Amino acid sequence: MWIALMFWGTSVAFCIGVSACLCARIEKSGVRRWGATGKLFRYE
Amino acid sequence: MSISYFVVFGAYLLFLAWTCIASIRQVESLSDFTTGGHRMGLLLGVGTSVATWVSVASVMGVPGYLYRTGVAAIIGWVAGWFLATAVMPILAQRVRRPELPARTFPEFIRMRYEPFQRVSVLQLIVAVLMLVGYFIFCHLQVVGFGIVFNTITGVPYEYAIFAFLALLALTSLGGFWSVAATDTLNAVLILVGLAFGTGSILYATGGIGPILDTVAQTTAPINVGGEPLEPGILLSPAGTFGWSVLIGIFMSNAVGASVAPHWINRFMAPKNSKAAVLQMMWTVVALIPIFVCLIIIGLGAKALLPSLPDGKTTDYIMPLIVQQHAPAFVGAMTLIALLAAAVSTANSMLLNCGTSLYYDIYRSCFPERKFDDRSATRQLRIAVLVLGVLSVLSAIKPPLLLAMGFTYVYGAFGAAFMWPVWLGLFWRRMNRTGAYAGVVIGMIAYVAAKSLDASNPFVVGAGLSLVATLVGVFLTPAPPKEAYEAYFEPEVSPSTRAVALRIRRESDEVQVADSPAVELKGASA
Repeated sequence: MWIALMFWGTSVAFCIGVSACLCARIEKSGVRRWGATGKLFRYE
Repeated sequence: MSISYFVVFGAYLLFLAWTCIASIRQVESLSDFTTGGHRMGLLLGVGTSVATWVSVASVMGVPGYLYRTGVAAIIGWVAGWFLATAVMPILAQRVRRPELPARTFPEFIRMRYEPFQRVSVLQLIVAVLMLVGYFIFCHLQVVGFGIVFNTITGVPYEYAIFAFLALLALTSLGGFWSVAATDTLNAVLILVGLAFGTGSILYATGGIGPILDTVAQTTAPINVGGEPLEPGILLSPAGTFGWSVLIGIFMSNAVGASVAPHWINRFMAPKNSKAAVLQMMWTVVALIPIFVCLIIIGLGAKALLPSLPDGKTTDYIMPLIVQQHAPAFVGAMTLIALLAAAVSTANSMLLNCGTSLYYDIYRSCFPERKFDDRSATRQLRIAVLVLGVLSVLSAIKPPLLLAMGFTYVYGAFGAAFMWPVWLGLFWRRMNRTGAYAGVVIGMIAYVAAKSLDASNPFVVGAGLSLVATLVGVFLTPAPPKEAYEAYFEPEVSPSTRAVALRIRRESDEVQVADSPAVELKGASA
């Protein structure tokens, strides 16, 4: 049971991790049209 | 059927109608109708993504898989689907990068691979594949809903599917805004309905502890009179599959679904690239409680109903359990969750179907003809309505061929579109020949492998598609910068911008082409 839930949890954690990295890259680019606002999880 | 059902259904219909009318007012242009004008906010984006993600097949299928195979289903299907959604932000941020993004998936293919063609044959091929595939999906949602509704309420199947048509029309005719708004409502209803169903199952079983104790010990066969299960097999992570088979199921669910065209369409709708990333991230988070409910329902069902009556498939486990163990109001709420799941998936499929037929096939075949937004939106509505009627008519006596087609469509989409999408977004060298080779060979290889009963036709199709794509790319010249620049650079050259404007102008703004300000309406982030 826990192994199965671990697979699921890993998928969710992967999604959040990837999204955070992508948002960080957009912030690093500073391109406002892509949504850079100065805050990691905020967009205009 | 008790009075509770009528009250809950009446309230749902009223709310749906109100949301639909409010949304129709938002539609001012063809871009609004197809992709919400590329200005969708996070709340609606997450709502529509969650509701589209959760179909009647997953609401009924996941408890059924749990009932049949135990927790192995969490690895094979739930984790696999979640991993597919987890990689979507990577695609989403690239798809939404251009200042003037495509309005549909086939148009995205055209912009990336055939920006200079007057009539893009690749766009037509992709649109025809989408039209056929999404019509089959839509048809199956109608059939699935009709059967479930008939099973639970006793309303004749033929009446149920025509009632479903009314709901479909109500939510689809307003275009993307209407679909998104009603989907957001549906997402809430799915969660609330499943929470009620889960609560009643936990109450009937005594909680999660007794459920796990029962599932750990049960040897009851799936159907009465069937072969008994091995004790403890339902809590074993690999279950009856074995690890190699289970990982194969996990990977095929994870890889193929991420490039489904309706998801690429969803990525074009948010305000900007970051909003597209956050939309998919929060979608995954919002799906967690829904799947917790489905897992509890599936395992709890095994504790409450150890074996199904002979002849019943495990897909019916949720309606059966709710009917037997939940009060009428809870039953109605759970049925609303199923209805919401069916409506929200079918309306999205219908919109994809309609835009493929009208926007990507009909209009593309007449590049010289002038269309204004108002008549285009009206004609697109007619196309959506006609396809909705056809999907319901085809469901009166569902042909076997269509049902068989379901298993082909998702795998075929994955095999055909995987490399043209992924490589097109992340490899500048990816070109038109590679895209043609990838789509055509991927599709043919998948269908051939499926016909020959290959053990994993998706792997065969996607593998050969990759080989064909790479051969095509390396044997032919690199693409012009106008094809890829918008997906890689923050600022594009004037020629790239001109190409994007020309493609969009050819579509729905030809009559106001002299005004750049108007051309950009609805496209700015």
